[in-house]
Amino acid sequence: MNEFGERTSSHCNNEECKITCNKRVSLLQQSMRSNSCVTKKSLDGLRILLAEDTPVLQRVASIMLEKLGARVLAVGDGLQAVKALNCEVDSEGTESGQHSSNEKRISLAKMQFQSFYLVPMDSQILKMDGYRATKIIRKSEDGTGMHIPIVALTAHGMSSDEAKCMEVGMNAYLTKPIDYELMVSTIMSLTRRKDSMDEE
Amino acid sequence: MDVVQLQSRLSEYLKSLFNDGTLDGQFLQLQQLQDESNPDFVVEVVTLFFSDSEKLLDDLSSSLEQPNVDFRKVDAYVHQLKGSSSSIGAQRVKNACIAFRGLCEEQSIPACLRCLQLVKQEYLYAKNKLETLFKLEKQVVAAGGSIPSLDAGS
Repeated sequence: MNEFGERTSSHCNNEECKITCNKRVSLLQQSMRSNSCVTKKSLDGLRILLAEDTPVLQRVASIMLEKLGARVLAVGDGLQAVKALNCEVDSEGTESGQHSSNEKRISLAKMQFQSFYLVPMDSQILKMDGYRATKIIRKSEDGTGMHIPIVALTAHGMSSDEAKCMEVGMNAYLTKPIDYELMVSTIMSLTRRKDSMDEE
Repeated sequence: MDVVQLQSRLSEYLKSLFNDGTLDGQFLQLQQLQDESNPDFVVEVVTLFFSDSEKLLDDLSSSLEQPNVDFRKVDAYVHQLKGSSSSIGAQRVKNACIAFRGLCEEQSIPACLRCLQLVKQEYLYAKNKLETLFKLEKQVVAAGGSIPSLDAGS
């Protein structure tokens, strides 16, 4: 909950930005509820990479986003997500970072970040979890000026989870089951879709 | 029975599923996502839930029968089942999974086996109710009516 008592998504790394952004999300959420401005094409033009291993959730989340005009690419785990973003990883899915002769590095192939605006990413999925995948993505962005918005989808609602998500570089945090309007308001605030209701 | 009566029966039945806790508001969110471009969305997702759940329940049974039970694996299966049940609004199944996860932490096989039975019962109950709901919807549509929507607030 934010200071206005609204469910919120936290997506900043410092408190001042957090308060400003939460206020923006909150205003947008209030506007959406009172004016039904979650329009059919609110997410028109957005390409979204969804990493979710549970088939039911993958289907529900995809439809939610497509209904609002987004184009969704759904993958089943963090490793596929990282590959879809053209971060090449070795077969063990290790991240770059510590460079020792025994550790493999991630080599960057071509980056097409402009194609994927948002990556809702489940933090609990196996094979490569969302935390590791996010670290790899952020590492691969170093020096490029790119920063793809990453939203965690998690079953937990604990502040320690939220802190961990922020620490690895995720921008926002949604708990399951997904609240349709909250997800949309989060995406719109992250992609800076200002409409007449946003008074900031 | 005419269309109006069929619609009324359908509405009452759906309300009963909320009243007894079988479904929660998340189911209504699914219904709101169904439209002309996705006319069978709810049935499709719930059917996916059925097949997904049955596999997970089989996996859970197998895991708990192993000589050395891997509780991390058991927990992961329950976590998935909890996620998918909550995403379609199968509240009682979800709640049973929450209890199950607590028992995984305690690592008690007998308790987990009992809880698995409970989860199975809740799943079968929900499945039965949802299949009946879809049958009633088909009857309304076959009689030329449209499926009435239940307000999320009611």
